[in-house]
Amino acid sequence: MMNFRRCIFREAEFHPMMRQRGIKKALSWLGGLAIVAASCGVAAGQNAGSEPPAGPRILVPNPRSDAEPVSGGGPAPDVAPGPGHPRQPTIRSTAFADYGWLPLKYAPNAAKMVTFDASSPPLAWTAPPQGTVSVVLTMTDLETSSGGNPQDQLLWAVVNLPPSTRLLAESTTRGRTAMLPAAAFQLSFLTNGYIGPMPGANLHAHHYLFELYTLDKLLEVPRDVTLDQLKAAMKGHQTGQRGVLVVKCCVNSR
Amino acid sequence: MGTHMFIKPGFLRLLLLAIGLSMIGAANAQDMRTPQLTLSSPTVADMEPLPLKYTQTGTRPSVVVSPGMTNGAVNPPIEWSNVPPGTNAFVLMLTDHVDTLMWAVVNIPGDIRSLMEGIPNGNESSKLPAGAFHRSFRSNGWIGPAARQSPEGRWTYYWKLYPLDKKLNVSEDASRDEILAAMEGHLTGNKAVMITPCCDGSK
Repeated sequence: MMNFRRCIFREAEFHPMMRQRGIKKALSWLGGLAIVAASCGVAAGQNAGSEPPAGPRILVPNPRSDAEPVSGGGPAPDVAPGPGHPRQPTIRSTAFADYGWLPLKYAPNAAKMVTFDASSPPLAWTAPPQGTVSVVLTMTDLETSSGGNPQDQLLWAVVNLPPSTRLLAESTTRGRTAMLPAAAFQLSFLTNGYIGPMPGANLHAHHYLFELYTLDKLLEVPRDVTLDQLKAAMKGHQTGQRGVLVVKCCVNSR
Repeated sequence: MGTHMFIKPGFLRLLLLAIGLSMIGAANAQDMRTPQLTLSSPTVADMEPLPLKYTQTGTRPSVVVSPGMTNGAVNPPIEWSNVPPGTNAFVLMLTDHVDTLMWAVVNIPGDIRSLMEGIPNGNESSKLPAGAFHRSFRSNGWIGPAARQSPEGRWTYYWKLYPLDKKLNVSEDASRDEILAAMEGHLTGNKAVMITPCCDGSK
């Protein structure tokens, strides 16, 4: 948006200049304008999100994951709008079915705590409703131990995603990563990334919820925000119903 | 020469980390030994659409909503097992994904392990466990989901059974928030969860 405003400004100051100075200078300005306009086109393509092939493909720098665009330009991922769309964005994963079982690949800690670098499942969703400024994704465990901290059910949150983002590639790297758009950050109750199902889920199936909240503002929350703080910050700022994706793990997971 | 001469601070830190990790392991092992509270129903499958006989959608002739309207929907039979020790009461709640209270059965005695199908509205019925009361957001009993069968909206219904160390001191028209607040600090173990989508795909 910022880039776009700057473009309009440049264009406005171009016209009087052409009248006052020689044609050569005007031509050199024209060249400059063309470059600025081109970059504006790219920025506009990124903002639009749903514009099919205009934007550049942003490649994931992480060699472990498939090179997929994670946000911004390029075509939106192919998610068929489900019931309730567009008031409620439809969120899906290519790795598991809604009301299905989460593959064990995305639950390395289900039997025993072995890694802080768990591989997150690929997720994609449809365009958020009009007026959406930011998108928050959360993954919660409905069956965390009541003896523990109730905030511990937050297994993943990605906060302040731009509305143009329509997918998170598999294995979104922990921390501040190029796989996430600039303003976004991620965390779990334990780490700064996806942690996945915790020990115990291998013996008794747990229900896990992926929830996609569309908001009318960017959240000002700390990078170690708790689930309750996050919910409190989002309260009253939803632009529609949240998208919900439900999975179980891990007794019948493969 | 004492062995302490060879122990460097870095090694000590590593040792502490190892002890910490093994303690986490021990805690997990304890979780594994105690079976988890399980919520189920003979007629409703977890993660499967709720049968139409339990819904307003399937039992009401029109889609017109008016307060106090009666319909033929009945609650499904519910049962649970692996109750944690020290449990003296249960609360069963059915909410949708926008937190509407579809059904709450409060102050179920701790020795009860199931609820019958078709508990009538009101708290006088012998089908309701002694001392318990039930309500929905709009009635004093089961109301049932009213989501449409055509792909109009995607509604997910969450069943949650909370094992408690005591009965709650809440009024019979307590809201979901009031019930949740009253339960705070009184859970004797994990809540049990069951999820049923409705009503697209229900039969």
